[in-house]
Amino acid sequence: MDQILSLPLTLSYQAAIRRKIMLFFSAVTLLGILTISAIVVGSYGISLQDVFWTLLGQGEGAMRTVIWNIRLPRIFSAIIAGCGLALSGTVFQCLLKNPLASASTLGISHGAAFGAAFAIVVLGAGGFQGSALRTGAAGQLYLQSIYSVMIFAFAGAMMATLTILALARIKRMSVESVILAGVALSSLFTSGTILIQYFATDVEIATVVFWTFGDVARSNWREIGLMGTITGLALVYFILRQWDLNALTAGEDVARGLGVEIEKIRVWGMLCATLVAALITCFQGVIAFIGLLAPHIGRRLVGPDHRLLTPLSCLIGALLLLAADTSGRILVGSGAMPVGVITSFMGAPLFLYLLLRGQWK
Amino acid sequence: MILSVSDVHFSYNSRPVLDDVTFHLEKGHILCILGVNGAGKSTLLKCLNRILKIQRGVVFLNGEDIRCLRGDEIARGIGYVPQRYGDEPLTVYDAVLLGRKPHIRWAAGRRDMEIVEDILRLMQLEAFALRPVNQLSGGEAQKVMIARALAQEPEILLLDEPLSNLDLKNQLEVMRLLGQAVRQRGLSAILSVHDLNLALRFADLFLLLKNGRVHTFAGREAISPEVIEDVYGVPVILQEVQGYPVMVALDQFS
Repeated sequence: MDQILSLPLTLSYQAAIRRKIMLFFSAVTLLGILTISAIVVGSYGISLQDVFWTLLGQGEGAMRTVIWNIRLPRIFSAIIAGCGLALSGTVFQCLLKNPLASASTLGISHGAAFGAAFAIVVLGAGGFQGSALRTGAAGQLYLQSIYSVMIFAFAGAMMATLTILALARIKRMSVESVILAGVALSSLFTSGTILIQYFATDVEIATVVFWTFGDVARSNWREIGLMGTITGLALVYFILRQWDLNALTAGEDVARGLGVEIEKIRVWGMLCATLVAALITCFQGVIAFIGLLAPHIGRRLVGPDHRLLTPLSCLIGALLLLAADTSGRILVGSGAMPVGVITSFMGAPLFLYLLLRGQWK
Repeated sequence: MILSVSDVHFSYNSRPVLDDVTFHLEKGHILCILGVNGAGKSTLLKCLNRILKIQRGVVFLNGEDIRCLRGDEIARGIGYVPQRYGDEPLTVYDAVLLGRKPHIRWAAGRRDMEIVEDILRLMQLEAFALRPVNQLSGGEAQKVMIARALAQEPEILLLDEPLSNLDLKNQLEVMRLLGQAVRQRGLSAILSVHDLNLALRFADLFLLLKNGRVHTFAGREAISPEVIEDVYGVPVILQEVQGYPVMVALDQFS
C-alpha cells in the first residue's frame, strides 16, 4: 500500500475505479431485492416468510409448486435472457464500433422469427385445441412441436449471422457496411415471414404472432440451464478478452498496433454473441431493446472500459428484463402480458431519453 | 541494427504502393519518411509492424522476421501511433494503460501502473489523467497516443503524421517530448511528416519516397534543394536561421 501511495495518479484512478465497482455491487443488491419481490408478487399470495421456508424445502405443496415451477423459472429466465441479450449487445456494439448494433439491427431476431414462422406454417408445428402453450387469451393456441420451432428459429438466427460474417470476411466489408447488410437481411427475413403468413391459416398466423412476442414464461428448468450455461461461458470468454475489446474501442489501427488479431476476435466474438442471442430468442421469442439499451446505460455509468462495462451491462440487462416482466405481472396479472411488449414500450422512450441527453457514445 | 527492411513490396488490389523498399535503422535514431501525398508513407509504416501484410520482401526486428512473431511479440518491440486519433472515449489513464496490453496476461499489476504514471508525467498529462480522450484538444490527444505507444516499452516508435492537425506550438511541443522520450529511453523512432522544416530540425535520418520507391535514404547532409525538388516537384531554397535549417518553397507558378 505504501508503494501505491507513491503513485498519486494511480491512487486517484483506483479511487475512481472503486466508485464504479460500488455501482456493480449496488446493481447486484438491487437484482437480489427485485428477485425476492418478483417471487412474492403475483396472483397467488406469498409472504416473505413463506418464500424463505419454501426455498429451504419446508413450504407447503401448492406454495412449492408456485415458487419452484412457475415463479422461479420465470425469474431465472428473465435474469439469464436479460444478461445474455445485454452481453451480446455490448459485444456487437464494440466489435462493429456502432452504437446501434444489436440482435435486432443485425437481422438475428428477424432471422429467428422467420425460422419460427417457417416451422409453424410450412412444417405445421402450430395448431388449435389440445394442450395450451399459454394461458389466458391464447389458451387455445399451441405448438405441436415446440422443439422444431426452436430449432428452426435458431437456424434462422444463425443463417443471418453466417451471411453477415461471410460477407464481412469474403468481401472484406467495413463495419458500417456490416450494419447495413444486417438491416437489408432484417428486411429480407421480414418479407419472408410476411410471405409465409400470406399462405397461412388464421390459427397459424396467430401462433406465429404469439411466438414472436418475447415471453420469459416459456422455458423449463432444462432450457434455463442450457441458456445459463451458454451465456455463462460466453461471459467468461468476453471477460478473458476484455483487453482486446478495450483495444477495439480505441480503434482498429490502435488495436492492431497492440497485437490484437482483429479478424479472429471479430469472427469468434460475433459467433459467440450470436449464439447467445439466437439461443435466447429461440427459447423466449423476440425481446426488443434490452440488447441495445443495457450497454448504453452501462456506458453512462462506468464508461467504455470493458473490464467494468461487460459485467455491469449484463446486470443491467437482467434488471431491466426482470423489472419489465414483474411490472407486467403487477399491471395485467400473471402470464397475460408478454415481456417483449413491455420492453418495447419501456425501451423506446428510455432510448430516446438517452439520445436527447446527448449521451450517444 | 534494430530494424532491417529489405525489398518490401506492397499492393492494394494489384495497384503497387511500395516497391523494393530497403533501409535499416540503428538504436537511438529518429528517421523521417518524406514524400508527396500517396507516396506510400503510411503504408510503409503499417508494413513495419504487420498491420498490413507485405507481399514480398522481409522486415527484421532485432534479427527476427516479423512474419514469424506473434502480434503481442511485435507490439512489445514496436509501438504505433496511427494517423487518425482522438475520438476514443477511454480516459487518458485507461488509454495509456491499454499500451501495457502486450505485457498484461490478465490484470494490470503494480509495474504497469508505475510505467503509466511515469509516462503520464513525461508527457505532461497528469492534469488530464481521468478525462476522456475525446474531450481533449488535438495536441493533448496526440500526446496521449504517443504516451500509449511509450507504455508498450517498445524499442521502436512508429508515428504516422503525428504533427498533422496541430498548431505550431503543439507541433514543437510534441516533437520536443518525442525527442526527449527517444533520448531518455534509448528508443528509435520512425515518423512520416509533411513539414520539412520540423523534419530537418528533429530527425537524424531521412527516407524519401517517390512513387512507392526509395528515392533517398540518408542523413541530414544529403537533403539538398535538388533532392527535395526532385521528390516534391517544387523548387526550394535551403537557408539557416539561428542555427536551424529552413527550407523555403519557391512559387513555381509565378
